[in-house]
Amino acid sequence: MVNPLWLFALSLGAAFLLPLVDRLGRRIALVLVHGVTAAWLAAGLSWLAVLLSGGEAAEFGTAGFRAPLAIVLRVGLAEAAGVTAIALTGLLAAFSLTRSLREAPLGGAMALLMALMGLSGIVLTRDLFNLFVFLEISAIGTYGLLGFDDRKPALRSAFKYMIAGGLASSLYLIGVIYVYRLADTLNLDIAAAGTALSGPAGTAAVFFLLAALLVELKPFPANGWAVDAYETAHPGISAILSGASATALLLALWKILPLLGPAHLSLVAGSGLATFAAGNLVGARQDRPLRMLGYSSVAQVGLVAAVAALARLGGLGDGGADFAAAVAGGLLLNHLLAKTGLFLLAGAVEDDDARGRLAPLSLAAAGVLSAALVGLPPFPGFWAKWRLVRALADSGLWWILAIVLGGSLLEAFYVFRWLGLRAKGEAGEAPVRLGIRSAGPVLAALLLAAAGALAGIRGPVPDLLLWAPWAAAAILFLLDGTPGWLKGLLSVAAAAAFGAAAWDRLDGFRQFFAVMLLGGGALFSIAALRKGGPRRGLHPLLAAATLALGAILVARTPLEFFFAWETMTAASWLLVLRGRGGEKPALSYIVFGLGGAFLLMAGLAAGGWDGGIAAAGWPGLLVLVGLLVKAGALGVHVWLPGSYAESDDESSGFLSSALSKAPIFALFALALSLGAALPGGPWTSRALGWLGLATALGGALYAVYQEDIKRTLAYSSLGQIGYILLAFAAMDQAGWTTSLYLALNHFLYKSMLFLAVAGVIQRTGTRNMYEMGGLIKKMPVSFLSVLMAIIALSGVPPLSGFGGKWLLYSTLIGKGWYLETAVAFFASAVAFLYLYRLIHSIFLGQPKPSQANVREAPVALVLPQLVLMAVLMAVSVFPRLMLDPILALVGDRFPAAFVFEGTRLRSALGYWDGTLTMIVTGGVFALCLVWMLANLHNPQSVKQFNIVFAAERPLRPETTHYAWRFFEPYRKALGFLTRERAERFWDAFGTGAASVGGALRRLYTGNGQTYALHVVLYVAVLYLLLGVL
Amino acid sequence: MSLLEFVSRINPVAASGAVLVLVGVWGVLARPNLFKIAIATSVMETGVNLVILSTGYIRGRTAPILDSAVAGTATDAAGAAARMTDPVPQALVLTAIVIGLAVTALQLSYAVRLRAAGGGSSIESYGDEKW
Amino acid sequence: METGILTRIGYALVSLFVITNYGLLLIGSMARISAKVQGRVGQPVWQPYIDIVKSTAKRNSIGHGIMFYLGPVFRLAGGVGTYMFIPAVYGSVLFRNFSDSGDLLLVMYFIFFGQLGMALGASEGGHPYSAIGVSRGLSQMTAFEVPFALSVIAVAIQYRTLDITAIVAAQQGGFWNWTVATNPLAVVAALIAFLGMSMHNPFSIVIAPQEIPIGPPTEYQSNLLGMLQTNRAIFNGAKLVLYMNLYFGGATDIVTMVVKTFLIYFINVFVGQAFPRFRVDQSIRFFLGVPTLIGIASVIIAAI
Repeated sequence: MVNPLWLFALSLGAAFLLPLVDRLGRRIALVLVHGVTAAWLAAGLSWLAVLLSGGEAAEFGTAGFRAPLAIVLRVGLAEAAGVTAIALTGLLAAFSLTRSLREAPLGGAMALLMALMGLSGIVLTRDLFNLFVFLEISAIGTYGLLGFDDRKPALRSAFKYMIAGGLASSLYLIGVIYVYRLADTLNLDIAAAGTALSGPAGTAAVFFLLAALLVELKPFPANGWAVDAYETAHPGISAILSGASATALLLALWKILPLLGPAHLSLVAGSGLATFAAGNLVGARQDRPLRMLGYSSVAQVGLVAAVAALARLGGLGDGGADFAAAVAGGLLLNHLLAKTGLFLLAGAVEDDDARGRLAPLSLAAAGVLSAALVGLPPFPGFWAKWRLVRALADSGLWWILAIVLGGSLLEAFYVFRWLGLRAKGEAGEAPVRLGIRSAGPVLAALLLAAAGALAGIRGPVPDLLLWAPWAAAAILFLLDGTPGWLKGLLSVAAAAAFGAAAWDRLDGFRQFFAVMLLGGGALFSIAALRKGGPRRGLHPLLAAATLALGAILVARTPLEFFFAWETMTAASWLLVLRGRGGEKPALSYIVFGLGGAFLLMAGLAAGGWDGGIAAAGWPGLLVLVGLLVKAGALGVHVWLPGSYAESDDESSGFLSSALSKAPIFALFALALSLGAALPGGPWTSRALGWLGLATALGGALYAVYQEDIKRTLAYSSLGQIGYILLAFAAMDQAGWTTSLYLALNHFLYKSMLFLAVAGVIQRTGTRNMYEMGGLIKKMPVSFLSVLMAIIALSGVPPLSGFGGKWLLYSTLIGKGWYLETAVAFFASAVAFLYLYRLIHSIFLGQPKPSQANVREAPVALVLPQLVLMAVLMAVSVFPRLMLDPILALVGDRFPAAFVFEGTRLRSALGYWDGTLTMIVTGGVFALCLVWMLANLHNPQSVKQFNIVFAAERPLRPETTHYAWRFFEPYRKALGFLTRERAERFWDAFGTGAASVGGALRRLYTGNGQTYALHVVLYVAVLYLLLGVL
Repeated sequence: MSLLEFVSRINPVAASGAVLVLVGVWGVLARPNLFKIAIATSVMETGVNLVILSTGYIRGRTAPILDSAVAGTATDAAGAAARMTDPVPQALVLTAIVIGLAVTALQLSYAVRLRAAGGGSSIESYGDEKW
Repeated sequence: METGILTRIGYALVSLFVITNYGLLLIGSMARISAKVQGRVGQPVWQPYIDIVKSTAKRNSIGHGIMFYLGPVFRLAGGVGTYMFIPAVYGSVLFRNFSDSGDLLLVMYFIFFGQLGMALGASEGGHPYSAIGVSRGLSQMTAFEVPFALSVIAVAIQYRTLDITAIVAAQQGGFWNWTVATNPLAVVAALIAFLGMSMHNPFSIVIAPQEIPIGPPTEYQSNLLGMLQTNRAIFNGAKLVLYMNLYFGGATDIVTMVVKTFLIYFINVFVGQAFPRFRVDQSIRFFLGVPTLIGIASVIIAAI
């Protein structure tokens, strides 16, 4: 292995030579700087290569001596990784700094070399005092870097930074000298091996060391100076501070961990968790991106420190250093790359003062970096977080788990809010092109993806099928410039190929859902061809979401399931974000999506899936609640209407008809893993039943008052999911049959509705129903499709929807849920209101002159509708086509309640013969039709306003088309039921969290002395706490 | 123990170091002037340096130089070590002083630059970044 | 028991013929009774026949589109279909209709078939009053559906079946076996719902017969109106038969059926003549108030 001393010599030599080299030109001087940094990187990589291929960690003495007589540098795996990370960050930052370094005095380049060397030294040295020296070298380098390009705000921050740095270095010196006094050595390993530090004096001495390092790690509340620096420095410097410096300091902390007693470790853990929580709370209040990233940085570092301390405290994970290294290391790597990239990216945007949306490549990088930061799959943070959560759950550290997940959710909120802003930009602003400056972020994003994929495939998720969504997304993004039809066909092919590859691995239940999930994805990929052009981003995301749904079915372990689940959440969130007004709904989509996912994660980690004893208890309940959030049960449904309404029209359809079945599938899978029961027993199922019912009623009632056609459909979906939940909760053969039947039916008719509505919106250019009217003559196929769909949805015989109603009421009455039955009747009746309004306001009534030239929807929409109509008709005439497989699926888990006799389905209470119903209805209808036609005496088609109207002559469709506030009397009577209580509750919740953040951030007054006081008080309080512990 | 005994046990070097540290901290926290803060930091560091020195100084021993005064018999290295003060803290202090000097210099230069750019001399006028 | 398919169709047609005539006469006689109550002479009992013949014979002059024509077809098919799914006379092969297609739930939902189709047809006419009428009608429907559903649930609990024939069978053997005697609360709830269903006073705002031409029939004339008038007779008959079956012991012969349904219908007229009219929002609140409580009470009684 390369002796690191050479590298130090190289850095120092280069720094001294710089003024000379500079005479040859700044360009050459900078090449030297980059070259030295690259040499560090090469050395780090070579060490990694040796160590990973089984090499032993090596120690390098100085001046021909070894410890305790001399300083020793150690190159182990952690050190090699640390040096690599620091050099990599440094190199990325250096490239982004190139222009500034060229224009500023030479000191900047020298400071950069020194800072990076100091940080590497912190990582490598095993000597406590040498550690101090490197701390100071890097600090001085950092001070220099903060002010090198003469940014006024950065100068201010640098001064504050120095005050805090001075306090920290004094603390460290005091600590180091007393450690030396007591342990008689400055070598870490020798000091840790002895017992001299275990007494009260030793504890105090180590405390000073620790306090200094903690302060350098920017704990809450003693971190105002750091956040100011993050905000004001050149983005490249912020990247070094946040990425490289944090890495080095965390490794320093890691190094002195052996010196620490349980009390110290508790302090580190507590301080780290407090920092994580507070940093994210305050971060959520930031509207300045760099400051926001600064708070996020301190929060992440706090979490890593806490994890390292908790692991060492014992009881976490397997208790070994392996776990700590994997989790803390994973989190750190994730933070390092993501934050470096984000600082560079956000900084570049801020420097341009740009307000538009990001150009595609930068945006993709921003997306990857944000997703990685938040811990979405497949990035390293995801794997680390999973292990962490699992370990926390195993150790029963629930409150820590709550802090970790709550903080992560907050972080997701503000990071994705920023991303949404960058993805959309302000109206009328040109797209932001960063040019070469996006190279650093893109590289960081690629590294993150590579590291994450490697960690996943070689680790816990080796199954390549589960990676198909990512592969599909990547390939289609690369092809994003090609015409839409090509990508659409590829998406369909991908869904088909996935289905073919996975089919044999799926049991009946999964095959049943695969038809809806994969088929739905393919269906809407075809629908997406309705518009020409490449439709950038749509196909990759749609394909990814579809395959992720498939992956959910394929998953075998809890982690695989969760991996696929979050993949699905992420892909669908981006679909929502892609919609025209998608920024806000997408944010609530992802926050609730992740909120649900985190509950799911906690439940899964605690064993809520494996069907063991744990799953029957509250871990299972956590899983259940997490799934309900995703299903959009009333109360946690607030994300749903906006997302469905604002996403692209084909995406809405996909979300509503296909993706909404994913939580349903998961519910079934959960119940099946428990032997067809719910965690918590009969009370859970009763409560779930009422929740489903409330969802059904609430969805229907809200749908009644919407003017926006897609919101109507969104609330309608909500209601239908409610019925599915209600039937599922019955937990018997009847209930499950009903639930599955309803799910498949909902898929059919809601697809038709969304497809038809997509065509209508495309042709009319509006989503407000009252702005349409009389479209039946222009779009007859769409009308027929909507007609059949609403007949099916409302449950009117003879279409298949009635089967759902019959099954549902039979189930409920048979189960003895009488009041539930009555409410379900009411909810079903309410559905008529919005369904009639939907078809009336759009297709019937008075046409608008402005829509005189509207044509039938494009073939890409009409064709799928025709197919679906045929399918709907077939299953209506022959209900057994659908019910036989479902009955077979439900099987003999429960006593049979429904039995077929020929075409007649029998329940304990009654019977229903769908075929005969259809024949009778058809016959009667034909009879009446013949009568009508026979007596039709040459009628005249009349003009639009030729209607019998009491003594008035209407002229304008706007005043004649009765459509706006269609059910006003209904609102007058029952409006009190739909006052958006859930929305107000969550708003209040958000306001509450924001107020806490707002109160906390008042600590950061901007005054350097206040910050210094924070440092002093922080150390004092920590010291007092040490006495208590 | 009596008060006198207690006082006599106090290491005068360490005590004066501690006082300097406290003075320095007070200065950093309470003096708003940029230059005074820099100087206060320096005072604090000097105090720390005194504390470091105090740990190496042991009463009744001689300077850590291997000469006839300590050696007695030249072969007795351990005995020699027991008769001399600890040289390591002195070496450490040397380094710390150098570093302290650099930091102080940098801090003062930043204060100058802040003032030269038209800012106030009180740190309170540099609180634009907050919350 | 299995009858040939042609025979069944023949029987069904006969049954339909009977109920049509009966329904028409019922409407005529009720109109006459109302007139007497109000001190008028009133129309002849056979006036509905005259209306239909006249309407059908008239020339169509106006058409608004396909759905407009299909509206009355849906409506009439809905009425006829509803009747076809109800066994009209207990034990009678002739009046068994096609009740083997489904149970009570099918009948309850098939009622919507005609209403929905009619509403759509009228909507294509483009007349705002049609849409207003539908909006009011649907609003009111959701409300009276609740007490009705509760009372049906009570019946289902009581007889452990949703099969109409079985429900009637369980009520055989004298008045004290009828639902009206065994669970009077259910019958009260259902009858109040019936008032709403029939859109008579005090729930007639939906069609507002006095002031304005409102609701679906506004734009229809000639044979299309004739179809609607025919449907009114059949649909009324179907609903009355349903009520009779569920609550009043059904009928074992045609005479009993006529007497019972006449009396049930009379309740409507009686209430209608005695009470003023609710606004839509008032009627919604009304149905979801006391009648719903009565319905819940009936379910509780039945469940216990």
